[in-house]
Amino acid sequence: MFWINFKYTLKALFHNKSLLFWTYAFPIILGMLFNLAFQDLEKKEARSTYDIAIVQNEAWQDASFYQEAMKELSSGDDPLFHIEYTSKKEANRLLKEKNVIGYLELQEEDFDVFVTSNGMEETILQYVADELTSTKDMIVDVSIKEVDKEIKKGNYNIQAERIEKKVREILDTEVNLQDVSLDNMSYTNIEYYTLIAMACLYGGTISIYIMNGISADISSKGKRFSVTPIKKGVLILSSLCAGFLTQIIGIGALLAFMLFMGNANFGDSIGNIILLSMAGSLAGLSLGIFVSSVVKMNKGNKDGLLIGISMLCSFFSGMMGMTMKYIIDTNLPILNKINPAAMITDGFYALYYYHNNERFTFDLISLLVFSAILLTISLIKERRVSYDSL
Amino acid sequence: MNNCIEVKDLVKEYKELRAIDHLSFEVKEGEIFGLLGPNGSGKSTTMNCLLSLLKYQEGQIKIFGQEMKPSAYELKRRIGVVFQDVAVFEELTVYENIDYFCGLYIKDKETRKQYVQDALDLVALNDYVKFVPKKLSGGLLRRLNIACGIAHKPDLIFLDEPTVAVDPQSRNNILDGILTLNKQGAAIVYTTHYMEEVEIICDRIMILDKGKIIAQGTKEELKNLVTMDEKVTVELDKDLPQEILAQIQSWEMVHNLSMRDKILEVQFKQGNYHLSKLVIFLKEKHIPYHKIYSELPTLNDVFLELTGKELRD
Ligand SMILES: Nc1ncnc2c1ncn2[C@@H]1O[C@H](COP(=O)(O)OP(=O)(O)OP(=O)(O)O)[C@@H](O)[C@H]1O
Ligand SMILES: [Mg+2]
Repeated sequence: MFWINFKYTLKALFHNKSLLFWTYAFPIILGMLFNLAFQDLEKKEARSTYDIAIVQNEAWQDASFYQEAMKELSSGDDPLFHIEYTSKKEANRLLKEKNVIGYLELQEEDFDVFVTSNGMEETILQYVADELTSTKDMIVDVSIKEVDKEIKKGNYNIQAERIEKKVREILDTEVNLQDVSLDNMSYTNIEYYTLIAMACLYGGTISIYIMNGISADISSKGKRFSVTPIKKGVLILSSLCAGFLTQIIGIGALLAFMLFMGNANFGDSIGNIILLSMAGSLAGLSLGIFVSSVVKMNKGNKDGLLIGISMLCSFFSGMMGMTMKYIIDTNLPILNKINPAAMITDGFYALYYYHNNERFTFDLISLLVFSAILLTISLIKERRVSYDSL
Repeated sequence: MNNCIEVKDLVKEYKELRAIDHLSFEVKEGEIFGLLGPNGSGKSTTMNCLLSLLKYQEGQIKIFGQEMKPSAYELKRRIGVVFQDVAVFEELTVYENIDYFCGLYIKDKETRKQYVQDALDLVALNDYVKFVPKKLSGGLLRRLNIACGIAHKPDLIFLDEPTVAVDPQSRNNILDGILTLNKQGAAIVYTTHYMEEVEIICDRIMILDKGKIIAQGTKEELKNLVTMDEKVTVELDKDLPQEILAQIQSWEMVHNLSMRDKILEVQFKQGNYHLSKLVIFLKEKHIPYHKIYSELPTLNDVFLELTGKELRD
């Protein structure tokens, strides 16, 4: 019963033209538009060096780690920053006259970031400052742990060399600050990340189609399913599998488009991207099932609601510029912690920007947990229902 | 014979409206049970309660001796339902639709193939297996809807107005099909507001109006409920004057009479020679007529007498 339902649901999905348009064609069309819109921008702005200033106060003089890091970021063939080391007053003046995109001032352990607008460049500065702070925290953390370990071993004669070596190892493997090259963070790629996230959430329309077909209060087909001996949960899960396959093929097509026609540069992480897209698709489908089973509305409105939610989630996750994601990450982090689109884009940032496998795994798991929670609620709600009215 | 459905004191209320009001009835194994009633009388509501699709306020429903509830999967396996609205996948062909729904009951592939074929034969859709629903006429679509509901060879079949808006050919096919299914052993609950159909195929009939049972029994039993025994219709040149009508009305065996559009209808109580008495009377009064004929009472007359209104819209 599981398989026959799977088979025919799949068949029905592949014969439903409007559904295929929204889940297959629409994201690709959007991708083409993005590609057109950003190609020019990219030629002009890619690989540029940003002018910034750093306030030379006492804290800065003592922060050898930050000094090192900034030196790395502002040297080489293609440096990220061109840095002006000045007084606070001067930095302010430079910013006002737009000679720099922003400046950093170290207060005790953390950077304050001063910018005048919230564009792409400013966001990069913010990210770098955050990144430096957290990296430093991590190093301090590691050092303390190493010292602790030595002490616990009874070794009070702490070997500074060994600790330094350990820290270097960690720095090399986990934090590739030298690698904050923005190859994978081009406008196009960033838009593509959110586009993939959006396409994943759009898969929810597949779920709504499925749920409409099997809910007795929505369609007469649903009545028919409700009088068969197949359990509602089995029915939903088997249809969900068919929806998942349909969705994954669509996302595959989207990725292929981006890679082969859309100038995307995903580097060598394609396996991880596929993994992330699969988890994202599951989250999108689960969201659709959840909306379907929890919200009492007619068919058309449910689709509208889902598309609205998808758009909003994509927007918060950085579809209209990653500044939005940054603003939410700093001011209302909870929102993007439960936003599946943000989990997906954050997964991409983890892969390409932070080079942080743990963060990537966390995003992946978040998506699975998100799906599991929504599915569980929906399944409980759909179990053995009779209706008040049909 | 055992009962396959037992309903006791069923009450179903929608927000304001009491759609089903203390309904009790039984359906016996192997019979065709007619649920007859005008639009809005509560036929579909009754059916949906029996199937546990609808919650109800009061009452007990047993099917094959067991309590019917949403999780009664073993019972559901033995039931087939044809809903009032067509319920098929637009994206799938005739064959696929039947195979899909049959497959939710029947696992074995070979058996299923045979069952789907039997269903196609029953509704005579063999020439259309590759068609999608959109390409089918209304009558054929209804037949597909039926095939999807009964392909798994259930022991108990519910049909909710399966012949509404169908051409006569499809209608005959559908009624024949239902009789065939019944001969193969299935009990059938047949819902309709066409009394002619009920008279043709049903063993026992329950008449519903506004959620209440008006009468139930075999059609002979139902017809015994009415005082009228014979209806004589006369087609005349012109309407008869009031005094003549009054004379006829005063005969002891006349139950009721009506004169409309040059047609006289006289309902007689039990007795003999009604027709000849009327013919002799008309001759004596020198009243010419074109046609005169006698009919036995129909279920419509039963309904009319019990509720004071016509069954048809
Ligand atoms: N979902 C609902 N909410 C409120 N009232 C309803 C609902 N469904 C049906 N009714 C009312 O309940 C009564 C019985 O309706 P039902 O559909 O059972 O009648 P029916 O005999 O099947 O009629 P028809 O021949 O038109 O199919 C009607 O008065 C109808 O208006
Ligand atoms: Mg009805």
